[in-house]
Amino acid sequence: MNGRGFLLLFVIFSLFLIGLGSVNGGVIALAIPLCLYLAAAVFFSPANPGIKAERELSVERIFPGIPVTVRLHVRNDGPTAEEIHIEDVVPEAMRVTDGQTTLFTSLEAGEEAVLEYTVEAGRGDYRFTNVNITVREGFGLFERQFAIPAAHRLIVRPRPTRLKPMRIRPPQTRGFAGPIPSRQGGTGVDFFIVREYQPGDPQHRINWKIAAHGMDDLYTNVYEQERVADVGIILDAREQAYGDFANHPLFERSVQAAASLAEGYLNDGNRVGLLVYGGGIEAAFPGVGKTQRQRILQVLGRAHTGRNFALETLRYLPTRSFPSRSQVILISPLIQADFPVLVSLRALGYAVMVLSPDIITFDAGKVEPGSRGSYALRLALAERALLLQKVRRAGMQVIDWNTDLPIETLARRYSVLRLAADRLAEMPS
Amino acid sequence: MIARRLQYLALLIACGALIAGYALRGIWPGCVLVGAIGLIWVLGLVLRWQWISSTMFLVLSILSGLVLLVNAPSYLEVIAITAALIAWDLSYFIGRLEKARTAEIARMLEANHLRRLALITVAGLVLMGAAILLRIQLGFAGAFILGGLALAALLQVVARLGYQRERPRPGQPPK
Repeated sequence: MNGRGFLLLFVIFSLFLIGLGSVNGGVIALAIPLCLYLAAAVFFSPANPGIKAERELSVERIFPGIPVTVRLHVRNDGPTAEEIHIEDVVPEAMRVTDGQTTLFTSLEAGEEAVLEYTVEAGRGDYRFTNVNITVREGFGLFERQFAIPAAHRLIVRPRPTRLKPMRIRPPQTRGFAGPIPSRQGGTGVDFFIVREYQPGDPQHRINWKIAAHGMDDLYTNVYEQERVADVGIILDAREQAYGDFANHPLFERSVQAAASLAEGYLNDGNRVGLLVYGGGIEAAFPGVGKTQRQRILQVLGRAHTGRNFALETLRYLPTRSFPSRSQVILISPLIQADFPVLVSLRALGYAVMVLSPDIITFDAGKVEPGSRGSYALRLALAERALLLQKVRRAGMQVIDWNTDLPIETLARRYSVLRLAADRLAEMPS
Repeated sequence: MIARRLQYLALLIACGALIAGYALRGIWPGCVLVGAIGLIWVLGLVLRWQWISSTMFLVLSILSGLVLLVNAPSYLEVIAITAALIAWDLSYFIGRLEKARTAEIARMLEANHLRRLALITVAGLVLMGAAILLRIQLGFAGAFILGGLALAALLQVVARLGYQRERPRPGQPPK
């Protein structure tokens, strides 16, 4: 019984007391309609409801900004529910763009009500859990509230940008033809070495200029083989790398970059793996093709920054997730303590590329020149530049990413095509 | 919405009957008090004060009981308390009805509710009228049986309320 029921009881007893106190039957008789009202409410009070809920989503995996229609079927397998209030619990950070998440209706035995609404959400892993049901009798004095499980999951994955990924040169490549120079002679496009002619070499490969200098010997041009490689992408999700802020907006850019790079390398036929290192470790083990793309986007959809005292530095990176002598791409704003770990990665034989989003410029916003903030900014930028220089000197490729620049523009700047164009431009005419 | 119109009508009848009751006995401050209560109730409904209906229903019920003590005609108080009950019930029902998604559902719920309320009201008025008008001489045996029945009914209500409170909700382990 709710508060209204108790109020009614109080009024009834008050009338009884006044009637008894004044020995006036008429006052007691005034309580009769109230008693009848209460009795009817008790008689029709909701019995054990056999309510079941089932949830349907128009899609299970989406990109941000795509509307999803949620359809909730609530079926009454028990006795008639005179008044039923259905309230669906929408995960936080999800926006309802159309329809309503609540429904007030009446459900006969065996009848079904459908609640339909449309939601939109940013990147993330959303879990629908329960539906809150309140059943009342007609007068609303007795009600029952319970939560019916109707679990469902919606993963909003980052939308990868189409890009030509940065040029990489891992120490070891795989056996299949691809776009990455393999440091081995064979058929290819780029000139590699010249060796002595061997019977069977095609004539068009003979280097006639060198042959003209010698007396008897012929020499053959050997080109560099281009193959596919193993690429491991490590996304740094440590809160401390993002200025100790949970869900720092820069992390979204990093996720976007990871998705775009993974897609780019996968499209080139490479075997790509992903590791998200932060509050925990989540991984998509190396693989190729469209299925791997889905796996990676799934992991990135769930990625969020977190703090884990065991994973404060990159020391516990599970490097075995990636094949030895493969290419590792670390997407991280970097902190000072990461440098020794990067050196040890390099020592293990990995080719390391660091894509470092510039968190200092991102956070500084527009600092007025000459102000105190501008000096602090200059110091912080100098410190970061020094760190990046140290990493560069340790033999790693470093890309300092000012996030005002879209990742596709940045990738174009470091892609093979751009490097070839630059080289052509540098050639004397 | 019929329920809303009916609510205001019930409120008017409740206050009117009580004012008439007090006026017939010449208790003018009582008339002013009931009139003021009616106005506050209407104002509260317009301004959507959540507490207003329950408070005013409580006050009007007590005033109905008190006016009988000064020998006002009992039929006026019968009408007043029944109308106050209707106004109180409808104010909460309208609040719930506003959450109905479609007009069709709202109409269906409204019709069901009004039908049941009408039944209860008529039955209550008949019983109350009978209780006021009829004079039955009960012997000891009759009074004893009726007393026993009342006690059994009370125990049933208490048992039912206790059962509902103790029973675990679906999906929760029993305590």
